[in-house]
Amino acid sequence: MLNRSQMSDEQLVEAFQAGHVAAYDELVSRWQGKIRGAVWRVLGSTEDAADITQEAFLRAFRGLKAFKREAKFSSWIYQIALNLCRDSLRRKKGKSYVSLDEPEPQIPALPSLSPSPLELSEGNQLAERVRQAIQKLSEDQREVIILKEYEGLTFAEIAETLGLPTSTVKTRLYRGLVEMKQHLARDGVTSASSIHDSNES
Amino acid sequence: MTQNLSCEALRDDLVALLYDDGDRDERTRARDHIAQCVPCRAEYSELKSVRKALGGWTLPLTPSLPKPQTRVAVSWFPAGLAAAAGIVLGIGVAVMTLGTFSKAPETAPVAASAPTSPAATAQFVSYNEIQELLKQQEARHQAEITELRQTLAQVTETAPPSASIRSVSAMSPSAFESLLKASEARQARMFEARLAGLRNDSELQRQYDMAQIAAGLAYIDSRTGADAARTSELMKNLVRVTAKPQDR
Repeated sequence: MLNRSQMSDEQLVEAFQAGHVAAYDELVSRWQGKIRGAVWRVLGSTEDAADITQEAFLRAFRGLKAFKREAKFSSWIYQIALNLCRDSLRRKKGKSYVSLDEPEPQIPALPSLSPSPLELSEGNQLAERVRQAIQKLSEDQREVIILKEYEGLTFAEIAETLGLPTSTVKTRLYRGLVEMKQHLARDGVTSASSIHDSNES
Repeated sequence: MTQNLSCEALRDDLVALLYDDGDRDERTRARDHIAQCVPCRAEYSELKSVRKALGGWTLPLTPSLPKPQTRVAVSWFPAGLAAAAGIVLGIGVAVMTLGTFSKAPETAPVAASAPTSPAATAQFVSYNEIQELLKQQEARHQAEITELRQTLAQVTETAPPSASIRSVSAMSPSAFESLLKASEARQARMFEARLAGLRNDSELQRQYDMAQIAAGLAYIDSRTGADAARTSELMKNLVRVTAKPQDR
């Protein structure tokens, strides 16, 4: 019998569905870091990322018996996590309404959009600017950019995860990058002159 | 930036080239295009610089994102999901139990702090084996519960009977009947008292309402009288002012 770590996701799913529950251990350890990173980037909150990653893997555990192996496990778990992210963002938007009865309505504080001195220190400054720019993107563009740039999914995998045609994925990616360029240029992070034609391949 | 329709149509190809993903034909088309289209070449460069900037956003280091656990990460499950986590934990413990105590599973201790290292490489166990283990565990628990019940029964037997608690079944029918009658009489008295209170409240409310109505009527009467007197006075004044001097 193969060691679990040598098995593919598909083999692990098959093993789980055959009753080898321990196969799920390997799937979790293999994917939880990636999923948590993606969720963290979509939400911009470490605590929420932990909660949503837990929830995603619990849901996957419950649904894995009935999982049809037409799709990849990774696409499926990303899909679950992103759905949970969308729910979470929707709930947060709902919470931002302010009662008309309140005498002095308080403007809800955006989570750490004002970088602390530490965050603005050398090395963290770029990351903070990029994070802010990504948070300004639409949900659709943000998801596609995160899945492509940071999770390294192919166009086809992103299409499978989001249930979209590949062409839509590329269009969203293009538009997201163009918006990112504008946001970053406004912050003075990047400009057209920063990359020379000699870098092109 | 001035781009014609063909440039617009080639955006997907440009993205394919940018990420070195998708069809080879797409990438070739994009490469050929940017070789001769200056605006697209510039845009391609800009998008590459955006990608470079994106690479600067790295994940926070631990403890914000701890290293993944080797087992299902039960430790970070929230309290609300304790039931599901318990299932996972139970399965995990059962697997460990098999792996560590495969020769004598019936004596395997079930504890959340069971060691993890050797069991991590244990071979898979089937549901049937887990079910068997769970049955054994259940049997042990049942035996413990029975033992505890027996102990409790012994304690109850040896304890002195409480004077304040009397069993109804131990009472005679006549005593039970008299108790019942006393209870009914008590409830009837309480009901009467409550009814009398309600009647009193109702009468008081009626008197108050009548007084309010009378006061309101008197006020209307007085207002009407005053208004009539005032109107009459005004009319008199009007007649006096408008009358010819010889008529005054």
